Amino acid sequence: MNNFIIILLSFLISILITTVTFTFGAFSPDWIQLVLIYWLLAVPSVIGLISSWFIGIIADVTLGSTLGMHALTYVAISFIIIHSYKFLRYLTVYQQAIIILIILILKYTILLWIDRLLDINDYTLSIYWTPLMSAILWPIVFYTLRLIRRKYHIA
Amino acid sequence: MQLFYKKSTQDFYIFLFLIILSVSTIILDNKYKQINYIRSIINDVIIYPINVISSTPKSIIELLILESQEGPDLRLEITKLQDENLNLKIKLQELQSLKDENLRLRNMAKESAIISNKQILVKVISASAHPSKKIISIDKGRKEAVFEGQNVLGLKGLIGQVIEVNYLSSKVLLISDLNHNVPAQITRTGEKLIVSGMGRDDKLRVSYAPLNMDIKIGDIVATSGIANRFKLNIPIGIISDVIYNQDKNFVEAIVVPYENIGNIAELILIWDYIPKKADE
Repeated sequence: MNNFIIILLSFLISILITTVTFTFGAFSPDWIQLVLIYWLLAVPSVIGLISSWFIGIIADVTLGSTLGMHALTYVAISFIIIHSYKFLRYLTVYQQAIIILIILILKYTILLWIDRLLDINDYTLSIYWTPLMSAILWPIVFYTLRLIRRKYHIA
Repeated sequence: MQLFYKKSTQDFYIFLFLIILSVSTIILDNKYKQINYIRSIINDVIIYPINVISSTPKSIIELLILESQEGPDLRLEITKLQDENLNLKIKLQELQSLKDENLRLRNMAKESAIISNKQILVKVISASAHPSKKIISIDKGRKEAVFEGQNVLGLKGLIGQVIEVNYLSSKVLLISDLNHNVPAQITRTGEKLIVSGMGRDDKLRVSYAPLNMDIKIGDIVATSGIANRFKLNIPIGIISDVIYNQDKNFVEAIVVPYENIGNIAELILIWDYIPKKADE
């Protein structure tokens, strides 16, 4: 129960940081996704596909996009990570950052594709700055959340 | 091995189910706008409190600044406001007679004369509510009878329109958004224009004015009421630059808005104009 509250709080804080960094536009990293990836790697028994979907829906509302767009990509990324966390866990943080860069470029390609398919035009090509910024800031997110995880003994 | 296989296939079916669920919500939301209430609920329960929390430091600082102001400063402010109030009262009297006259003329012209004075001041709780669009959140929603398409003004001119209404908060699309166009006119001549946003707070753009149009630096641009989206004659800004582009056969102009659109704390919502909904 304690685990659950800490993880929920971390997601709420990531939403808060997302809304605060809206002013940076495409240069603000994908905070919610980074937090989700961390918890998937650290405690795969707590966070699964269904919770990823709900977080995706909340991310959709936060970002004002079509409901389901982010949920789709969140579920896809979670599926990949759940089935490869044993491999990803033993990489160094910087190697993980490169993997995250590749995964997020794929994610934003899918988002851009859905965007163009439905003729919404919310995103421009500058959205590709987001994966880069997220990958650069991954070590910070990783070490911060690890500190929290160790402090509250979440396993 | 058996167990691992079972868990794997279970995971796969959950994955498939969630993907199909996402695709169907995308279609439902995009095509039929049927699940807006889910968005509304999440907005009210999660996003609104977070926005309030994130805007508290700013309001606390503002409060502290107000508290630390000296007595004489405040007295000066009071006299200034009293002067202004007197001036405005005199102007209001003129306006009242004009309004009566307008109403009489409208009656003669047999047009509908629904004029209600309901208007409220709203606070901006988040100056940007979207990563790539010019959208802000305000602290009034369905509870205060805010409706979609409602015109949003500042003290000096047009700001935008309401595009999403939740129970406690709403979202406003600013006229400076890249995809936003306002049907407008030059008040001096009555000639019609379309003012579009550039994605910048200090500039709007008129892209396609005919070459023979009478347009000068310093002309005032106001809404024209065409397309029934915005109320007639809300001031937008002043023309600051006119570019005669010979290749394109159009005149381009830059409009500087009256309002500081990107950085505004309080807005006015009006109820005396109900825009016609675009048929979808």
